[in-house]
Amino acid sequence: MQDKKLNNIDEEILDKIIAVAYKDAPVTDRIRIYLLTKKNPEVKKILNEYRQTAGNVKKIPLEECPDSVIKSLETKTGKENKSFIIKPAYAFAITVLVLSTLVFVLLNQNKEKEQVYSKAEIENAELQVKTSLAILNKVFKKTENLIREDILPKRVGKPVHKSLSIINEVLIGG
Amino acid sequence: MLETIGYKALVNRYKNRIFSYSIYMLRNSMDAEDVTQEVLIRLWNNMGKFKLPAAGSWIMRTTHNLCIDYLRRNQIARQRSVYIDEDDNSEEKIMDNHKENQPEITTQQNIVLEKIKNAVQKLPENLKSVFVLYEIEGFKYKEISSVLDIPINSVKVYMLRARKKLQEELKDYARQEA
Repeated sequence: MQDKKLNNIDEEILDKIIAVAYKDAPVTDRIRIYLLTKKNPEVKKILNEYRQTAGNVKKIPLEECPDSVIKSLETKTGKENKSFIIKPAYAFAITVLVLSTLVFVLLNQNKEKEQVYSKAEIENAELQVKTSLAILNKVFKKTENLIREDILPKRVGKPVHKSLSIINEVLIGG
Repeated sequence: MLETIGYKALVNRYKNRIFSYSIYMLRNSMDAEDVTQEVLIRLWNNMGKFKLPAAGSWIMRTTHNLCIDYLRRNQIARQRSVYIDEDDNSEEKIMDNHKENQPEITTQQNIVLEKIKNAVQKLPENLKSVFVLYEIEGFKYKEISSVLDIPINSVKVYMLRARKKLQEELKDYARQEA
């Protein structure tokens, strides 16, 4: 029967009928086949048969992959999977731990430094500073006196005076 | 971490496609399970060796190649029965399983679908692979050409032949329905 039909309808038209039935023919072919169905009832019949099949083919769902396949897959790739997941988790935990320890130590160190200087110690330090300044003052005063009373008149004034009197003697005497 | 997420996404997206393709090619659900598992293990081992947008083609090419290997190794296509006909009373099974509001229509439709699936499985391998990838898995001609490593024009020719062959297989049923 099909062969008889094929004798009447050439191969090219049949290909186009199939493409139209499966909805992947260009618009021009659709119009051409539509016009042919109006003229030729056999074309219409073949188109309907293919449409029927195409409609049912489009309804075929994908087969569901059994869960057992995925479960056994997890056991086979599980080790590598875990390492992938756990490695960053470990790294993150270690980083957090190290950072928190560092921050804790730094904060505690600062606190200890602040606590080292008690009021008594500060007073003691002030007293020491005052004493050292007093010693320095004493030394400076001694130095000043030495320069004023000893160095300037004896070591500077005397030679200057002596040299001036020599010049006077030379000039007056000359 | 990113590879694991990518892998899981690919598994979720392609597991049913791999299994469906394998079942149509091998006609046996046990072998289809084995192929699916093997493909997914290979996918895990090769993660990072291909770009994610090309993953679909890679997965289906691997599935196709494994199915061909299975067929060649065991010649199961000739020896084993069609998976749908494993019990020889699939129609009765479907009759028992319907739970819809219109059981008669649903059951009738399921029988029709099973007949078509059966007819698809009887197609020659080269036509069947193109037909399943295009009509059931929803791949485009270009993608199928890449998966099966054949020219795009051959894909179109195989598709047309597969449709004609399928119609031949179903002609009695189609006439009955028409």
